Amino acid sequence: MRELLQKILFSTISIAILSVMVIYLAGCAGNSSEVVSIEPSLSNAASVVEVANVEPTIEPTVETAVITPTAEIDHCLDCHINKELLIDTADPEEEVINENEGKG
Amino acid sequence: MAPLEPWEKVIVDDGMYSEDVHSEVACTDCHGGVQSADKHEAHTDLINNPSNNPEASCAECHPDVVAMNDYSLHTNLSGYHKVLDARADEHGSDDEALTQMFSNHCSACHASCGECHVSQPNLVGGGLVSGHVFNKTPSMTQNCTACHGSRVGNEYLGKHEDLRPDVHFTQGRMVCVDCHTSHEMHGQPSDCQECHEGPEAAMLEPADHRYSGVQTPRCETCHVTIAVGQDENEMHQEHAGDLSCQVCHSVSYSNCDGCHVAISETTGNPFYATDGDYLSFMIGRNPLKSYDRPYDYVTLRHVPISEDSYAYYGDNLLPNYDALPTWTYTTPHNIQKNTPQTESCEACHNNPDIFLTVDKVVEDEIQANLPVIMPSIPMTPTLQLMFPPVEPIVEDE
Repeated sequence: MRELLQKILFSTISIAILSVMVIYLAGCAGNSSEVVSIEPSLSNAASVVEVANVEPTIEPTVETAVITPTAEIDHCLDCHINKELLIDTADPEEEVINENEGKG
Repeated sequence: MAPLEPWEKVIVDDGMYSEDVHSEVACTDCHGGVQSADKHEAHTDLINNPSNNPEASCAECHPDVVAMNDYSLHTNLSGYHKVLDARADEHGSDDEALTQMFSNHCSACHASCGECHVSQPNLVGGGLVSGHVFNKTPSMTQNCTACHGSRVGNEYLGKHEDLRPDVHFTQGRMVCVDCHTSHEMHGQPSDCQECHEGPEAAMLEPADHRYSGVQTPRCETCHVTIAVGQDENEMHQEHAGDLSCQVCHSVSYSNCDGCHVAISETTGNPFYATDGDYLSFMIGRNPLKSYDRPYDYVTLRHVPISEDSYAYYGDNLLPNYDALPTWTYTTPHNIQKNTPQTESCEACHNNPDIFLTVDKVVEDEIQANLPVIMPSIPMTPTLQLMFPPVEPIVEDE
């Protein structure tokens, strides 16, 4: 029974490690850019000239702009979402004397 | 309504507010102040209530609403000015003393956009309602009845002893905005024909008071067949259009006497004092009979205006005190299907207790209330033949 449990545990851990490795490797995989080159044909001299005039098409490398979010410091919300801070920094409460008589 | 703790008034719910579109606007864009970790520095030139100036703070995103804002009775308090103008001298509410009085005691009822949609009214201490989240629908308890509490709120929610809540609340689970829509609250142009066509639009007066202009809300909007006497109820068939709905379907409601205003010598704060308040139910003649309010008889509520209500600010500030009744057209928010009035015809007919007759009016107010006093009690046809109505005798001044 004990050996069975150990085998199950070992299998589970192995599967987990393998899963992590698969995910990691998938993330590391990059797109390979294809370089298309046109080989001139020797059977047709004219086409060889034409082909020679064709520049090889190279897929341009797309540069992705890296946006670094600027950290906006909102001092207003820093205080106003913090109950304890609001209590600690509250102005002294002024006693309001209600001198009204009857319903308003 | 319990007042909010100081921290409760200003705490922002980070999670909920971040989902609100208004969180995309920087705090300082509306509230002024300065971005600083020091509280006092941050609160330099702080604007507590940006929506007091809706053109600056709300119009960019809500131009249509702000354009109508000046027409809103909550903004312009036109209803107050109207009744003051009627009772005051030729200067009306522009009289210097009345202007000062109004500023001290009446202007607090002005409601900004924020006092409905994001915070409690300043009249009850202000403070954020939902962690600075903007509520498209104002809260009935934290916004509407925070101000409209002593009469409408108490009646609607059944807070008077032995009186049931309004059936629209208990059965319909309706809140204020279900009847009082944004079209009414945000204001409408003084000329209905700016938006509406047809002969009715031409006949409606501008709304410069809660009971002027188009009747909104209107019972008949939902209760169509009942209101025009097209159902099987013989009372509806007999009285539809002659009586306001509240005459049969309302019960006792708050009335007040003699409000006087002054500035406290102790604190320097404005205050008021009424001579008393009480529950009563009175039917009288309609002082606002019009195309949109064609009823002959309506429910009346006593309002606490006295000839010397503003005596603190000067003598004889209401020389035309008698220009308006002190028993005013009212629409109590305590509607019931079955009331004492609906029990039988005789519940009203031949019953002097529920009609505003001259003996129920204070002598100083008789002249003012002549338009609403019942000259006689409506009787059943049989008794009417036996006892013809007698006009009240009013002594010349």
